[in-house]
Amino acid sequence: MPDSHIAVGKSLQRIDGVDKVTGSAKYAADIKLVNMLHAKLLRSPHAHAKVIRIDTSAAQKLPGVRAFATIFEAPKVIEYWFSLRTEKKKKQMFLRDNVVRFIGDPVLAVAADDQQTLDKALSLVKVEYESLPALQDPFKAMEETDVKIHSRGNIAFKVKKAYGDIHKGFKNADIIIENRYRTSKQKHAALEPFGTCVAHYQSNGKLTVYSSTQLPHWSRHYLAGALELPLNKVRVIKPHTGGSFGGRCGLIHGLEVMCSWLSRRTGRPVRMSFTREEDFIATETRHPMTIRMKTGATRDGILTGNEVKIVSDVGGYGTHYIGVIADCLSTGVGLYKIPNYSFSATAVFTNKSPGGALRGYGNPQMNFAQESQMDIMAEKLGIDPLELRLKNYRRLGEIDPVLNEEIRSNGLKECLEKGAASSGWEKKRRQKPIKGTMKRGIGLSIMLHGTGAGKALPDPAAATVMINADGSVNLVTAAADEGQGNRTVLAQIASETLGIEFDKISVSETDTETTPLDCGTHGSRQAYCGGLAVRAAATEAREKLLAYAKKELGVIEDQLRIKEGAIFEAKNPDNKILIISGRVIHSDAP
Amino acid sequence: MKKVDIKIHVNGDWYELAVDPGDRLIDVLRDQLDLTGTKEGCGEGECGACTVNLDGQAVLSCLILAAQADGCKILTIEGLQRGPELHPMQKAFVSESALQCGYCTPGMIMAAVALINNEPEPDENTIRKNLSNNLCRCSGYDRPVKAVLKAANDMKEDINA
Repeated sequence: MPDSHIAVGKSLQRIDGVDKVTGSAKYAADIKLVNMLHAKLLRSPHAHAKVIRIDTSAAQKLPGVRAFATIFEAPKVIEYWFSLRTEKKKKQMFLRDNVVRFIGDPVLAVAADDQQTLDKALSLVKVEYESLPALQDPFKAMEETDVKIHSRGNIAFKVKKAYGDIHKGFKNADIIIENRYRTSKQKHAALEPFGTCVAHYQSNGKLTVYSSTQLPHWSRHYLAGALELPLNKVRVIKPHTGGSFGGRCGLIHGLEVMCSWLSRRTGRPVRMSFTREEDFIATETRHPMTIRMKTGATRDGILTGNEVKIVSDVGGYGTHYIGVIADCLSTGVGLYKIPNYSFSATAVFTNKSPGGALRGYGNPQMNFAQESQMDIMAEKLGIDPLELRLKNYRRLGEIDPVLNEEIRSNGLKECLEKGAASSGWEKKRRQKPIKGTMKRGIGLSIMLHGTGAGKALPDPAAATVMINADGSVNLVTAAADEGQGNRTVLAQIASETLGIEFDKISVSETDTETTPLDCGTHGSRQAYCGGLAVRAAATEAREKLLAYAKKELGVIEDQLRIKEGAIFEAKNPDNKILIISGRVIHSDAP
Repeated sequence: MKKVDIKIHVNGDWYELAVDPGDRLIDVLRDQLDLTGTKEGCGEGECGACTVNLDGQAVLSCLILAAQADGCKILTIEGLQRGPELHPMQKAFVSESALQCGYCTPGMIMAAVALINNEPEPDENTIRKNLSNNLCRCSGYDRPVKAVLKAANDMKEDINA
């Protein structure tokens, strides 16, 4: 390793900065392929209905209309990661039926020469629906047995976990509080609307899709399954992306599959772009939840038991509903050392737009409830909210019962104490409430959040480091950059590990065809998981290079440096070897 | 539908185009002239991503019909640089790391360029007010403000030099 940091911890310019300030960075909607068609979805006006008949005869006659794909043929991808584990479950991922489950659910897609023809064609399509009762309230939907949103019923997922004995927890409590918390639906509203892709199915049987996915390799899995193509015949290329915030963790409902279907039908590239309105009504949102929480504590503020009952509103289709609840569990149970914990959750289908991933992934819902509960408990006990947290947080060396892992680093106490000191916590908490309508207050909350999927999923990261003859480097990775800058971060890690200047590192396009398998950009994992892969690859590359130079220069690796295409002895820079030549240039060489 | 013939001056060149009466300026820039640096975020004048300069003023190209721009001088993000040399505003956005996903960046830069053209030495409040129509969802407004201040300063020094 170099003597001092050359890239990590330095304020460097983003590797995509110039492309983004010149307008040359291509986002999905900027991609134009030769002979490209345009596509648009016809969306259901019903929250719940059966599609009986679709009549495209009038639309078909319109000049410039090229193809249709309907709900009857193109499957919906309705389950994600967790279902990839078994063949049976994998089959459930792809749903082909005639039911629309929320207002905006795609019924048909049309491909045409231009936008105007699309609009006209859609106005000529006649759809006959058989309306079904719509269920909006998850509590009603979970009791309902006559109206089933999916054939397996309205309960998408149910889980119960117990740690310790909750009855004992409440028996040992001096005080028990019980409250109900509700969280709302929330949209990512990334500045680039969700829902643009370009699909090109060629006669050689290969499908290429440009899609702003956070998970290019998983998207390839889902697309291959939906179109029944082998994985090596599906290529996903991720262009620049205008923000994701979780909402591009997979395919966009109705987008890539329908678009690819149309391309396969026409043999031409097809682009589909959702409007901002379509993004709002028909792409994934945060799951609204109702959380009942019953918490017991002793008089001096030691938590003895916590009982949590969650009802999560999945909407018409579920993709991330299991993972989101798993996050409620791990972030909730993990945070405080409560010996007796009972956790149960039910994810329920309703006739609303699909729930999915949004930053925090279940943590915000659970944390809002649990931390509100802590504040209420502190007030009831007459204990400072800061003190209550310090008394109960899970400390270094303790076991997290959900992950069954020891807590190996924990700066929470230090963080809270510093935060309290710098915010003037004690003084401000003692102040009397301000009279009048305008008030000012101070509060705190703490949180536990994971990086990556942990043990829940296969979560691989990979990178290839190629050192060129002039000492510059190509870093090849599938790490999707949604704008947060992880491609720059990975280049920094490569630079630092190799000991080669940051401006000599370039990062590959995000393309499943040319990059090794990566689980994608989710759960704040790329700097850590992607970064470890880059570090491992860079370490290996550096070791190989230095082992060769050691032999040639007669100097041990620690004494060698790499700079500007040369490897040289730190103390005697004239004793060097050029990477390109593979021959030793002695200090007396010309 | 009957096309409308228009003549617009874009990034230094005149273009004679036949457009649909309903075509917005952004459609013509992106689809006919391949100037895809101008972004569409909402299509209804809320987000500012489609901001271009029209006769030196910042305008929303999703709210202007192409036919309305007939005879006008338009500058888009692609027209800012001189050859490979970036405009001081572009340089400042890079050096101040005033961007993340970059989708709002062209609009924000064009709003800032129009501001500097009209008011070469804006204070921070003026910058904030003038960029308030440009939404960023990645959460960064401070850095663009710093970038505009820096660009204004660099451009002043340029003139003085």
